[in-house]
Amino acid sequence: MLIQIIGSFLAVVSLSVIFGVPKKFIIYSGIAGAVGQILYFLIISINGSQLIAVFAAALVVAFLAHIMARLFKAPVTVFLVPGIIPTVPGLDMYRAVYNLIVGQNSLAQQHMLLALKIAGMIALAIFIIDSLFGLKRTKKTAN
Amino acid sequence: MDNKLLMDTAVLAGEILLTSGAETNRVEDTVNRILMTSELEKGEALAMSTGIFALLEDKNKVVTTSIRRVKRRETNLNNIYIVNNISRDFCSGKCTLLQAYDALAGIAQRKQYNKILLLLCFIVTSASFTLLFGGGVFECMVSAINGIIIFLIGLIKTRKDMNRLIVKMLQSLAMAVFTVLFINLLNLNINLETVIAGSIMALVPGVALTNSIRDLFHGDYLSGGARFIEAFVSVTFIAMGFGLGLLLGKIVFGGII
Repeated sequence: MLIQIIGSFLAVVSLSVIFGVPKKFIIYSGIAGAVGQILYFLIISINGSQLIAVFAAALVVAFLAHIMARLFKAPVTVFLVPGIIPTVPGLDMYRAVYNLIVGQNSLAQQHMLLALKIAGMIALAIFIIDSLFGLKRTKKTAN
Repeated sequence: MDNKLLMDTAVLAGEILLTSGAETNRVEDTVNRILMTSELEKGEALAMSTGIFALLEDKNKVVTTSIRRVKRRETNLNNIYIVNNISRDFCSGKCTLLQAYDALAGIAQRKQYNKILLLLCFIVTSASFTLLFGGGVFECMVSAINGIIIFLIGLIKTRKDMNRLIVKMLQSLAMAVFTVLFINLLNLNINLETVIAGSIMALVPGVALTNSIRDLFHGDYLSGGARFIEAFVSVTFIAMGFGLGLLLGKIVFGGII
């Protein structure tokens, strides 16, 4: 568990450098991504449902990204993009292609569908957090 | 106030945002805010994922327009942050128009991280995602080498200005071929799945993915849809790359992949 937390933190930090996140924010985007991954592994170990775990992780990462963006007066994208990458279904994409080549089409379909479902979950999580923070902004301007 | 310079500043800010990978909503908002600082009759901006149109109209119905087609597309979140700060400073009156324009024009020459750090980050990304997918020490070492391969092929893109999709496919293909050859020739007992899945995570189109979701949410169906297709096509090319690599392994080594 500890190794996985350190691994996800390192992964998000190095992705941040690849995407060109400003130097002073790298550590924060790393924290946002690592918190999301901790939640992901926790839910996997308790419940076992990958979809719920991805949804919760994306939700937390998007929430932290919005909070940090307001704290540091920086665009949300800076924290959101590197943090959301670990939830992207890379493993299922690989399995889908692998099974397609080996010739097990039904397994390939299964993994392709799972990858699409996970991508949908990520989209849903970002939608929800964006609309929550959008609500707050419109209230402020109305007053 | 100099309308021409204001227009140039606004459109330059928009262009940098668009090439660096900002959401269309942010691009439009920034250009509009800068145009609105002039107290003219009308200032409008329209941004799409491929270009910007902007218009200024004064009391005598004299119209200044500007169109910028954006072809280059890369990911640089630092540029988005800097442009955001400049536009914020300019709109709140903290800096003059000329200062803002000079600051924006200076962004283009800027290099944020040096190549060695980037190489290191590709290595760490590949290795740590392999770790996250349940790989052991040997798997991590192989995918660290994959990270170097991905970085080296990525350098060709900046030199030769190749098609981005082809470069992504080449990166994915070279990485898969190397892994299959390495494991089969040395007869190592290594889990191929964690190595390749971990290595492709550095290639995933993260910006296109998140921006398509956020653009669609804001009602920018044109840009959101375009970004979504971009993300989908990118993923397909990555999949084709390592798929070809695996197929090659299957043909050469006869099913042991």
